[in-house]
Amino acid sequence: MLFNSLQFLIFFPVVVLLYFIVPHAYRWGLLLLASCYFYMCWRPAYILVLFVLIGIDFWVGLTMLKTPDKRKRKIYLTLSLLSNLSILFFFKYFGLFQESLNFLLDTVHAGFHAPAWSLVLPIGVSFHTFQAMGYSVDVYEDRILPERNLGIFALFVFFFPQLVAGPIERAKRLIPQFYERHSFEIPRALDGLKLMAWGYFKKWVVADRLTLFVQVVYSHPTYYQGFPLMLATLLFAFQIYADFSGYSDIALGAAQIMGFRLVLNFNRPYSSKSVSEFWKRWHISLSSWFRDYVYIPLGGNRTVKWRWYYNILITFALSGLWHGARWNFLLWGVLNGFYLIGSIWTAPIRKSIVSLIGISRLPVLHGWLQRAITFSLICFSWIFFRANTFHDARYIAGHLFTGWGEFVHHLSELPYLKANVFLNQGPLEFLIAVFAVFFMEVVQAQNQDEDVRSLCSKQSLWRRWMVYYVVCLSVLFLGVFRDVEFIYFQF
Amino acid sequence: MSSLSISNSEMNGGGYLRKAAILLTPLFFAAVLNNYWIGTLRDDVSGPTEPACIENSFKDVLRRHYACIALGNSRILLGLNPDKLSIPCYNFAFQADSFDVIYYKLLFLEKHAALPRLLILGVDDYQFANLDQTRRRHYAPFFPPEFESDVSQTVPTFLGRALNSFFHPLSNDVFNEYMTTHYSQTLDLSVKYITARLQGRPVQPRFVQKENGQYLVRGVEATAYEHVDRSTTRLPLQVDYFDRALNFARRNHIRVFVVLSPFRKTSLTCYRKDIVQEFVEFVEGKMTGKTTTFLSFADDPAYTIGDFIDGDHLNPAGADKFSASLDERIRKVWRNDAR
Repeated sequence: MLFNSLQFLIFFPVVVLLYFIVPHAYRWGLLLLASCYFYMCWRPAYILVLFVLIGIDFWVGLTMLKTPDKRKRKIYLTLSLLSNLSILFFFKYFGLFQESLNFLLDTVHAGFHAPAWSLVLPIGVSFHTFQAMGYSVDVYEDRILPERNLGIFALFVFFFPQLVAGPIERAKRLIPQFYERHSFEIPRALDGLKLMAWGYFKKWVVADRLTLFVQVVYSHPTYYQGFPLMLATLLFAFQIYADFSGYSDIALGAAQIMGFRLVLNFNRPYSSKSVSEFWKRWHISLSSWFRDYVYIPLGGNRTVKWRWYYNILITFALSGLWHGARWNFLLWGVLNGFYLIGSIWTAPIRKSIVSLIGISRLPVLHGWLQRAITFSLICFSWIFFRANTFHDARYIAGHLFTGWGEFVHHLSELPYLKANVFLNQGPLEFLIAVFAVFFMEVVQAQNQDEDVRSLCSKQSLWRRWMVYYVVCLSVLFLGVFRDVEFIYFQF
Repeated sequence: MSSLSISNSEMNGGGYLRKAAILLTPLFFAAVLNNYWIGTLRDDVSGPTEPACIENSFKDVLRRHYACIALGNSRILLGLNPDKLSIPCYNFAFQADSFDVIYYKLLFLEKHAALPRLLILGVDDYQFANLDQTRRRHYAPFFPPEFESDVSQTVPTFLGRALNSFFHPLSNDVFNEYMTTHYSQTLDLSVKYITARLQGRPVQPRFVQKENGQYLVRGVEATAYEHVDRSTTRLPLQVDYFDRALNFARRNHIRVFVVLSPFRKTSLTCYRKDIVQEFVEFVEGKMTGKTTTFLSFADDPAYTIGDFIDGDHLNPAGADKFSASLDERIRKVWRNDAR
């Protein structure tokens, strides 16, 4: 079920109503049933895959509790990790593996191919397998006690607001909330509704509108060079942010209405002054998952320099592959890893340049310069994330600065302008897209490390209501209503 | 014990409700006013909606007995003017019609004893590559239930269908279409309406469905910067329906002209030459017997950018030119048939 569907707009209020009517003892059961229904709306049979994983991880957790022997506990942990990773590999990476194997076989003229095996990817599989693996590691490391109620554990993996695209929750944070007695609180529900409305604005008005522009260029990048490639990449940066953070806002808001607090997943990432800061603000639940379960166990930065760089690269490469079974995603991850290593290497040089030109005496300008550079680097990496093939990504990256003379020369021709600036949409559509991005960024810029809920409560009445009206009227009149899935659903 | 529990803040519930009412009332009135305004706007600026056009076409095609029916997708819908043909013809093509829809349209005509003597069947790569979902429910009332089962191939069993209707009791398409036609278009149409009024121009609907079924798009001109983005991967289902349509025509003694309407040069360069050639050979391979003829206008040099509204659709003048030329070629073949 998509959050941006009529079905969800009916399903959710019904679940909320039932949740507050049903006695506390049965609420987890209700949420579990609702979550199963939510998941099964996509492909009912695939729920069995999740049941198997839940069964294994639940059993492993309890068995580890009863086993004092560290070596045996490790075996159980390995079993849990292997089963999760096998499911992930089987559904998500087998195609890439088979494609790569066939490429190798062709290269050596082997004369035969590995059999093609096309499987539909279970929705949100990367999210719930990572959440379940985090649980097993936490139990193994004695950070938490294993959950004894299978239903509650299943709900931890299944909880519908964050089931298909996160945020990836930690057991320590989410499971105790299922035992809390939640009463219906109007201010909390209103805050949740505000966040959901903001999420819908981001999805329907910003992300789905920008899709129209981006896909024109990224479907056939070789038709373009220079400005349109840059513009489409810039718009994609806002599209993916609005799409994914919009989803997270709806998830957080929906959970909050029922009394659950999910982890904040985005915190104005494009205002980051460095790539490392960006990764602390973008998809926070995944970044912190990789930090805690991959980067730190590998040794983190408390090791020799080359090993530190290696740890960074491995973590980012895995993070890239987590997004999808395509070499483009791997490259995107590795590129971000190199950004980080590059920033460590160049830190002393940059420091000397800053003091040499004296820009540190103008902190505001210095800050904006840092933001602009970070944003440009991140936008460049999005090319590899968005491009359909490696060939397309290479073309776009190589043609960002070509064709500018022709662009300036033809700019006065309306058809050229329509094709290369408005990206084959009308001028009005372009203006709406610019307004939507601008409004989103202005509202977020007011936030100062708080989310839109607290922002609203601190504003004067007329400002607050103006934002409410702009959001509601924009969704109604400027929304793009098509069956467009959230980008992160595919992961 | 039921726990319909409301916290201390319930004391303030009335206040919140009042505020919500104050907030929502203007929005409610805006929505109501819009619903009134959009109806007028649509008639004046946009023209009939797609569902209305589909419904009209099924009525109009039965209004009289046509000797000739044209079927195909938007390239025929916009590109063929039946008034330029020498036999009474109705343009029964529609946007994104692939061969599944075309076959069921033939069954519809048979059911209503309205089968023509001559069928103009538009073809292009995309018709073989596309299984349109968005217009399916608008066609459903006119077609037998098998039509629906083509898209639900993923749930072919009874259990599958039962599960499907349990998990998908509501169609999101209806919601999306309602929001798009009632709200999302308001601003765009209002701007066009107000601009025309300010400039003292008459407000004309952009889309017109003629009585002969042809669809006109006004005020759009092709530019040198358009590209065609179409899949050329043939779906076995559509190939099967293409065969079924041809066999149906053969069984019912309908003379068929399979027509590939003109492409823009830009459009042709979007496909590799071997793909275009392979497609032409594929269609020619299907022309068995004397009752089926393939007429290709794909690379006819008579058509220039001035005949198109975009990458691959003819404008009204281009459509007239193509229709006259098609009529001439049909008559020529017809004369040969008679000999």
